[in-house]
Amino acid sequence: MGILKYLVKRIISIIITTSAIIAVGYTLMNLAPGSFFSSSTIAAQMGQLAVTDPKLVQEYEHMFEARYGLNQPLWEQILKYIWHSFTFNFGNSFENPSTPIMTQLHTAFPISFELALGAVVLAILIGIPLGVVAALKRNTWVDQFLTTISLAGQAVPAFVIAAILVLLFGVWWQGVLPVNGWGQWQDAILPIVALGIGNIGSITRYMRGSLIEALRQDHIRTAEAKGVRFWPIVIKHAMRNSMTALITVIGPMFAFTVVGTIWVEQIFSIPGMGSLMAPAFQSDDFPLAMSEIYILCLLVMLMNLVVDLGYAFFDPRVKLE
Amino acid sequence: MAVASMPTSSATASPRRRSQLGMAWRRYRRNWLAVAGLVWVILFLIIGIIGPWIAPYSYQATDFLNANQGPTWQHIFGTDNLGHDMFSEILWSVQNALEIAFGATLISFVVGVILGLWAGLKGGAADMFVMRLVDFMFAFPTFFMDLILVTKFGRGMGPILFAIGITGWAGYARLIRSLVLGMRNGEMVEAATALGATQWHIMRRYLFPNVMNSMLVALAFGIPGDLTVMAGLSVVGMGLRPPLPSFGNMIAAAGGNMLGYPWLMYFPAGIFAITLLAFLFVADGLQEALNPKGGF
Repeated sequence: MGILKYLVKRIISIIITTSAIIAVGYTLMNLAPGSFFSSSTIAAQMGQLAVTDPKLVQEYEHMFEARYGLNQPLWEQILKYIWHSFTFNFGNSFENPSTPIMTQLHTAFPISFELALGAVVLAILIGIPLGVVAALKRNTWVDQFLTTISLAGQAVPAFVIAAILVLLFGVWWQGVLPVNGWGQWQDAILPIVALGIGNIGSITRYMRGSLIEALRQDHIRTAEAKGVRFWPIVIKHAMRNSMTALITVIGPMFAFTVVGTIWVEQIFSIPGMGSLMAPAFQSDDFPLAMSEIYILCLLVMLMNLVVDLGYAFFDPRVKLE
Repeated sequence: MAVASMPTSSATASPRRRSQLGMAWRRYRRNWLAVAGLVWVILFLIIGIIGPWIAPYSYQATDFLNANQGPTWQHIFGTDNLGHDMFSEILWSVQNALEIAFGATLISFVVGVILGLWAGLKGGAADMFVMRLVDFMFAFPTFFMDLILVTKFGRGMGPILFAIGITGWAGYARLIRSLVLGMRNGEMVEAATALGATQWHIMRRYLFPNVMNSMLVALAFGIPGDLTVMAGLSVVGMGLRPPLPSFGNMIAAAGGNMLGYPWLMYFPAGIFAITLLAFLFVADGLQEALNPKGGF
């Protein structure tokens, strides 16, 4: 199958999936009990007004609904919403009526993207050597230690690791690294480490498994028999094979990390997507919440597409379908 | 736990089955981390059941005079900003965590088993449909769907359990489908079909017991995942509604003033992390013990 046909197919599936997510999310949020008026700061002010002039409150709500198109039939709202999402025109949120959501995302998205990307890159840089060591020393205490540690790293969620890091660097080693805020490059270190530890674990385990598998292949034995030295065999013949398979782990890992950034940003108080998303959900600010979910899902799916293309590029045996 | 949850449907279990179980247990016992994990999980289960009775205070009891106290004899894990006794809070949240861990995992599991078996056995359009659904669930992080569902249905125990359960089935369905596909055209099923067995009978008596081991392992790996999601919802502020204690709530609340009152973080985060590790080591041990060939 031609690569163009494959791309078109994948992009269509991305469009369908994102539309479905928006439709489901929008319907659920629209039917949710409680509206923006009952759960936000606006409610307090409206409460006073409701006592003195209930009619004005109703009028105000009507105006609000008309402004955001909430008085149209649900299906029309959803279709419009999907259409505008594809052109990245998200309108304004309820909470900040004068700022377009795109402006808010414009500052928040790069921060989260940097964190997620940094965590994946860190995991690759540290995980691969660890995995190679574990595979070469398999069934020794080194291997046992590394496998157990990486299993533990995978199990403990990023927010717990983040909390532990804040305790370490905020209480015991004060001043070594900043534990909250965003601005200098040092601020990114701890969040990326917190996000990366789980990924390091999975890459180590995966690399170990696939390298052990690769070292059992016939062509390795042939190379050994021909007298190729140890390291060239490992690096050129075995690792090259197992590395291509490693690409497939990166897709799901990225998705996992994107969710992790939302948690970690809360702990380190970083003004990324997570710190926009949490209040948006808490105050029923649907437009902002939906746009964030849409952007992050799109990011994950595009990343998966890139990963699949990369896999086919590096491993010619793989057929795109 | 490995022994207790294996199918022992017939009272006159053949000696072979028993020895297989014994072998699995022997393999499991060799892994001391898995045994330690099992001990912690059992302890966790016991506390989950009797926790509310042995807790020295109610989870709602506040002691304003002793708010934000470090660990003392009166409050051995300290108190939070409202004067809740952290030790009691933790005992109560063990129960909540267990309800989510087993309830939500069970929901995902049941949905996954039904859809997976259906897709694997029927094939054709049913298979197409289920696999498209699975692809859909895998295409984006389901955590976002959890957030939306929790917004919609509220932040009680039931809605969170339902939200986590209903979004987590895709992995089970895919696993079971692939296992069933591997067996569907085998001689065993062919023989059963030739003898006139119905689809339902084949599903129940032939396929289900055979995929049991792999599913037990998948289930064991699913529990720590669901616990993480539950706590993750709290971190974003959409977890269990506050008077109800949960590990996520405590960790999220402690995050705000971690530098001032670090003990509020030590105990919940520590116990939560150990619990996740324990469940994971049990799962890892089960995988080694039940599938000696490795992988599932």
